[in-house]
Amino acid sequence: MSGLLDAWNAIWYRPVAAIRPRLVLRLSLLILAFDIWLLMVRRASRYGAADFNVAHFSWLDAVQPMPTPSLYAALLLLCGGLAFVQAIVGLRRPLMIAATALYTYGWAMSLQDAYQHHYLISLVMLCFCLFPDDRGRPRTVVAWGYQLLLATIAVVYAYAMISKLDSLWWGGSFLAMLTRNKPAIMSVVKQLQGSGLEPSTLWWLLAAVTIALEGFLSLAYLAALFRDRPLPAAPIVPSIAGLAVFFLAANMHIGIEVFGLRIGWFSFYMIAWAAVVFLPVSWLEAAARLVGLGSRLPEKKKAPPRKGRPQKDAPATRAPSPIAAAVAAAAGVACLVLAGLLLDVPGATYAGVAGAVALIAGVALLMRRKAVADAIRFSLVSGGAALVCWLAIASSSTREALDRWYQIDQQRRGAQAATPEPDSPGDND
Amino acid sequence: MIVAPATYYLRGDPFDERFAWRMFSSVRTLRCKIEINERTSKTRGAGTKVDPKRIVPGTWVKHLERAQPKVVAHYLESRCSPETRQVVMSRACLTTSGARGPSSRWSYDCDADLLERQGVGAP
Repeated sequence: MSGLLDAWNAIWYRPVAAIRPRLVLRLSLLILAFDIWLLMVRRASRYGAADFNVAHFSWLDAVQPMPTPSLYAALLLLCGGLAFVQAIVGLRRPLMIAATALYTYGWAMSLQDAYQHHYLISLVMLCFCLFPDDRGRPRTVVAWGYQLLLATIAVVYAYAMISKLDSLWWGGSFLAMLTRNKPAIMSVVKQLQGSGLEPSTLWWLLAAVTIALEGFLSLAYLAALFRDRPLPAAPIVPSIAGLAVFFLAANMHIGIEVFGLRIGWFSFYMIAWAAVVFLPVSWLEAAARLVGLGSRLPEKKKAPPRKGRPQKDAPATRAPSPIAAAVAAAAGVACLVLAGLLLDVPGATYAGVAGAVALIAGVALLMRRKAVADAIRFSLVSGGAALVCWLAIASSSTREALDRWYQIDQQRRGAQAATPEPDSPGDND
Repeated sequence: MIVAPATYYLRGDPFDERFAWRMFSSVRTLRCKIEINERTSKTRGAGTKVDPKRIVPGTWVKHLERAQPKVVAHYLESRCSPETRQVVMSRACLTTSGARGPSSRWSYDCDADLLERQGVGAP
């Protein structure tokens, strides 16, 4: 029994190269921030339209108010901000828990959002909450949250494969139907047909390859649970295997994008995860060093001071002054409020004000702990996140998408739809 | 993680694919049409045909066409009024080959606060 327990513990508590959890967290959160700002916020108009809503869970219907565009967009704007901040400064567990809660409520509040990968991202964020603190930047860490993430992705691929084990998929007819209006895939099909391949054989082949790939990738993620163990005889072997897996995963998801079978940014997440999980540590370290995220080498042991000799003082590093922290906090708050006011999106003002209040509270807490440098960093990064959010949304077609959906809905429902709510904190919605 | 998707295959409702990791599943290939009728105490027969597209946004109509159980139940219930006594949704699907696919009928009795389902997707 204890042997079994040891084997179980060995899976979850084995040391992994610290660069993998560090990069997977930051890269995922960076993609997530832009995914939220550019793809999710634009759907805000439909929330609460016709006073009709069904949440993903019945208990949520019983306790929540009718979702509104303002509520939905404000929650997501804040969540995107929290994701962006942690993509820059690294994991801060309370912020990660808050981001996970906001994101999960964001999709759970309504079946308007039925994207399966949004549920997956909630699970991934839950894993991030369990990641180790990477502030020390060690080379290896025990990161059972990361191991759990690998197992989660393995489960997703396994079920994705199982769901295709029906006659429509096996026979290839479903794939043929799914792609019939996609010019990219049709041109490839025509070329292959020119070489004498029967269309039915081709679709069967493509379906079989997809199913086999998903099964293989599931196994590869399970195998990755045991990766980063030093192999004394052949250290090159796991690198080549990892490269091959990454190549296959990336190809499959790039293929999905090219063939126009896009589901949000699902493919981008999957490619990013495959890169961080399967590429060699040395490559990831090199990439991380480029953006200042590399591991720090273990410090040399200091020799103990000799008796009778006074120890030389280490060169004093100037601690940043609280005034600098106050100025940075003011700048951060100003950026948050300004971005909230400038963003032409429902709920943006609420999000800006809520973000500013949270920043003031966070800075006060850090100052109380004498973490002045951290307070300055957080203030500046939060302000930067607000500006990046504003730039991203203002330069996208989010506003047009919000208006267009509203107009179409009004036309369709015979102008019975409620007038759009104005965006100001003084209004009740 | 493993159990939540597995419940999809056990609960006998092929249309609620949430949490089951069924991206690009063949269930979506069905072309389904719905018809909704509302009966008052005065109407006879099948009742008055109502177009849901004129009542709720298109996203919800898609959920109705896919027979998302929670949406169907909530929609039918929401149509009850002092005059409306019963709301019935019929759904008929065609497969990719044009053959008749699954069909179902959902009926909500406003007075008894009772939802009945018949056909594929029924418990």
